[in-house]
Amino acid sequence: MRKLMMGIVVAAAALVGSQANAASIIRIGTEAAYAPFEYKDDTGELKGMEIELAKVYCERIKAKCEFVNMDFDSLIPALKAGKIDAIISQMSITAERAKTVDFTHLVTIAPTQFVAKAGSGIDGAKPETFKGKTIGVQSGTTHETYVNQKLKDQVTVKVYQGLDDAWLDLEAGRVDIVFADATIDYDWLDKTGKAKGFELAGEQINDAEIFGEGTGMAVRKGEAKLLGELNKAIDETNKDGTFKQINDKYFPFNIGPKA
Amino acid sequence: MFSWITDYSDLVTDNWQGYADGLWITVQLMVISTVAGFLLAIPLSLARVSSNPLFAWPAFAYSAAFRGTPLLVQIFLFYYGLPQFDAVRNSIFWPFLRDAVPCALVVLSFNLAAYFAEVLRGGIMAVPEGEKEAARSLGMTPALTYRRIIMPRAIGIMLPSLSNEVVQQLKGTALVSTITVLDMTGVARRLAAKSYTSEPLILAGILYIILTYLVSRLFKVFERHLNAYQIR
Repeated sequence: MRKLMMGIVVAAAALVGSQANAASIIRIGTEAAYAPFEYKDDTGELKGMEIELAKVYCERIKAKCEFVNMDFDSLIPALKAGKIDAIISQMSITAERAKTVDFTHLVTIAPTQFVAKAGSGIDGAKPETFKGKTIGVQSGTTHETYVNQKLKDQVTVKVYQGLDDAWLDLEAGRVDIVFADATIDYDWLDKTGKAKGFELAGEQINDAEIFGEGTGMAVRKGEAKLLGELNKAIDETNKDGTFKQINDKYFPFNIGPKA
Repeated sequence: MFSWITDYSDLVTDNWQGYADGLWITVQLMVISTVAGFLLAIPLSLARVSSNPLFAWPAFAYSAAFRGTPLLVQIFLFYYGLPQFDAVRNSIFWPFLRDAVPCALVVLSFNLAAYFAEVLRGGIMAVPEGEKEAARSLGMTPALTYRRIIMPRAIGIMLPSLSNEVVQQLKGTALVSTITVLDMTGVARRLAAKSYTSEPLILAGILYIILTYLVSRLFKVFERHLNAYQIR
C-alpha cells in the first residue's frame, strides 16, 4: 500500500513538473464581470482594459497567456491551489492579502466611492448619513472589509458574489447604496445608473490601510521569477506610453499609478 | 502535523455565532418550505390524478415547469427578474418580496411542492384497489375515501421517497446564498472568502451531514407511526 501511495505521489509530481515546464503558458485568473476592466462581450469574448494590459505584459515577457474566469472571492484560493498562476482583477494591494500572495508593482490606482439615489445626502465623511440604510458590496473585496469595519453599526450589509447583482438590487430598491471602485461606479452610472436617477454620493474614500495604494497583479508567494518579469513589463508599459494609450480608451481620466 | 485540529477549533470558537445564525436560517428554510410544499402538494397531486382535464392539465404544467428548470434559475428569475417590472415593485407584495428570505421561501416551497405532488401521485396510484373498494362498499363518499383511506395510505407508502425529497431540499437551500441570504453556506462562503481557505466550507459540509442524518431519523419515526402494520 505504502509503495503504491509513493508511486502515485511520484507520478503526480512528475505530472505537475511537466506542466510547470510547459508553463510558458501563464494562466491568469480574473473575474470577468467587472466592466470595463474585464468582462465578456455579447459574443462571450473576454474584453476590457486589464485584459488588454495583461496581453501586453504577456507579450513583453514572451509568454503565452490564458485567461481563467471565476468569482472574485475564489481567485486567491485558486492561485494558492495552483489552478492559476497569476491574478489580474482590479485586486487592491493590501497588507492582509500580501500575507498570502505576492503583488507586482501598481497596475492602477483604485479610488472608491458610494453610489446612491441622487440627493440622498450619503457622505462617507459623515457616518450618520448611513443610519438605517442597506448597502451592497462584493464578496471578498476591500469594500466589504471597509463597511464591516467602519459602518457596521449604521448599515445592513448585503454581500454579492458579483457586482452585477448588486446593481440590479440597487435599481430594485433592495439596497440604498452600492460601494465599489469609483471607476466601476463611473462605468455603471454612464451606461445605466444616471438615467435611473443614481449618482456618486460623497467624496472618494481613501483609507490606505484598508484599500492600499492601488491594484496590482498577484502571483503565488515565492515565484520570484514570474514576479520580476511582470514587474519589468508593468514598468515598461507605464513608461513608454502604452498604458496611457489603453487607459484613454476606457476612461476620460488617468488611473495609472502616480509616477 | 495536527495543526488542522487547532485550525478547526479556532474556526469554531471564533465564528460559532455566525454558524449558529446560518444553521438557524437553513433549518427554517427547510422546515417552512417543507410544510408549505407539502400543503400545496396535496391539492396538486389530487389534480394530477383527476380525470377532469381542467384540473389535470394545469397541475401537469405546474409540475413540468418547476421540475423541468434548475432551482438556481428559478431563484434568480424570482429574485432578480421579477423586480424589473414596475408593476411588481408597485404591488402590495413588494414589501414582502423586497427581502431575500421571503423570496427564497416562496421559490423553495413552490419547487418542492412540484416534486412532492409527483411522489404523492405515485402513492395514490399505488394504494391497492381492494382498499378503495372496501371503503366504497362501506358507503364512504369519494371525498371521505380520499381523506380517511387513500391519502393516509399514499403518504405512508411514499414516506421514504418524501424523506428523500426533504433531504434534497436541505441541500437545495444552499442556493439561496446566491441571493445574499446568509444561510449556512452563505456564512461559510463569507468566512472562506475572508481567510482564503476551504475549512469554513468543510465545516459547513459536516453540519449538513449531521442535519441530513437528523432528518432521516425523524422520517424513520414517522414511518414507524404511519406504517405501524409493517414493522419488522
